[in-house]
Amino acid sequence: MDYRLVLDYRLSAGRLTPWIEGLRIGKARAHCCGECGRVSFPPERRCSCGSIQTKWMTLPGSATILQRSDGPENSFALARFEGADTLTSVRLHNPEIQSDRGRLLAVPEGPPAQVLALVKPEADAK
Amino acid sequence: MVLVAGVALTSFNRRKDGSNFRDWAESAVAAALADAKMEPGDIDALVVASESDFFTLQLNPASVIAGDLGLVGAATMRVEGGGASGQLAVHAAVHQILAGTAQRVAVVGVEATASPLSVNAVTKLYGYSFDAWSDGMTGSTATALYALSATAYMARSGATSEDFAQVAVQNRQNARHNPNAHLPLDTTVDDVLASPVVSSPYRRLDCSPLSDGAAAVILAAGGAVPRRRSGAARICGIGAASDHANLGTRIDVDRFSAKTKAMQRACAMAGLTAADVDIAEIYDAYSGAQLQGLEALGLSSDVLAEHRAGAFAPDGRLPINLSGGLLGQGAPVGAVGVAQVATCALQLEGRYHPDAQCGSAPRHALADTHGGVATTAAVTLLSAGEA
Repeated sequence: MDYRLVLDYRLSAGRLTPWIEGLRIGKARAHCCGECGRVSFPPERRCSCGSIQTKWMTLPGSATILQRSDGPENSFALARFEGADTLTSVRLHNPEIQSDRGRLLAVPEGPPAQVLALVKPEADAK
Repeated sequence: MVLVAGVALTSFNRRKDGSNFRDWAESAVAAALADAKMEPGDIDALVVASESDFFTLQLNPASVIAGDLGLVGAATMRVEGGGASGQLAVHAAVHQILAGTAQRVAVVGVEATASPLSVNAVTKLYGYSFDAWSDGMTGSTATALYALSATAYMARSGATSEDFAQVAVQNRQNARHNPNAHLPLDTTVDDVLASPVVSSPYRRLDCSPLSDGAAAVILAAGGAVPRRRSGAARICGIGAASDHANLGTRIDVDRFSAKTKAMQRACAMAGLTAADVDIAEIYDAYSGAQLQGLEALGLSSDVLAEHRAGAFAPDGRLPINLSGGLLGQGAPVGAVGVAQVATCALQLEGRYHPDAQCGSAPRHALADTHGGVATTAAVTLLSAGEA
């Protein structure tokens, strides 16, 4: 039996709404722990030190790739955004470029996404 | 004391016969009850493990499965913890028995992972089993996230794609002796390395299949097993733990730290150490994950060297995944952990499939699962019963 179910969700990002809004415009909005100073991107709801006293800050948006995985349709990476103490998974916008540096890309439409545009080494140096 | 009074598995495969998850659950529990020499009326509680309602469009599956099994009136619940669902359900049953709220509990794990939805749809859904916001909506897949962890593991340990491929080859060879297995294949390392890349370093044959199926165990307090059912294995230790769902938040993205904690807890409960384990069923959703798991569980002081020397082969020091594991036996997610416990119990009783039965009369067995990239870990230690 074929059966098709279409569901239209209206999801709220809750306390992390500034992070989602930042992804829409290419801004890396992170949490900085008020207790230990740890910076997390994506923002942790609770710092690893246990504190929930966090404040928002905007990172420069550049990132360094530590691990990378390529597939036929998409490539992903674990990256550390400049100024962050944590790593995060990102989708690579232009995986054909062999580089370990990139910048957060604005994703104005569709689901919020952490997408990194890789930067050629020479362009990064300028 | 908690005894594994009866066990049963359906075949794990992609169903094309018009049957559905309720048929498989009913079949597995009926066979497990017969194995335990019990009737439905003997059962106090039913615990159902199922990862996702997306596959079946049946919320609260325990309610309908209880009716199908003639268990209306019994306490029922559904347990979910991603890939760890099956063992977490076993743990829930153990807790009920140890607390004295039930004497005999039926546990059934069931999943219709293969037949109802397309592979692309399941791949997308599984992305939401990590952090739905930062991973799922970004489009990350389970394979990609495991691959990122595995890449870090390779960089640290020196493991190669050939090492990973050998895991896939061995487990599918093991599956050739398991008539319930989804992928009983005679493949080579070269076959694995020649299969299409899914998400580097993982290729198609490094990945476990999407499977349909069910597994059931009947657990009972020491004095609640029929006299004519002798020699049942017992569960001597359970342990569970968690890690950050986001890989990037972890201290070491390549280590399965939750598994280490779960194992420590299970060993403390059992009064055993990892060195006491004679055989193990390890959660090999991907080939490299088996090596990462063996390391985290403390089952070897040099996993790679022992892997390369054949220590984890059927005739090795510590046979791993004699069932074929997820790579060979298959992966109907909710059923996996229950099937592992069933397999361990049968091995300890010496009545597993004859060509896959461990020949060295094992005394202790380990069943290991996790959800996410070892985010939700659950392990179970079993000991051989009295003859």
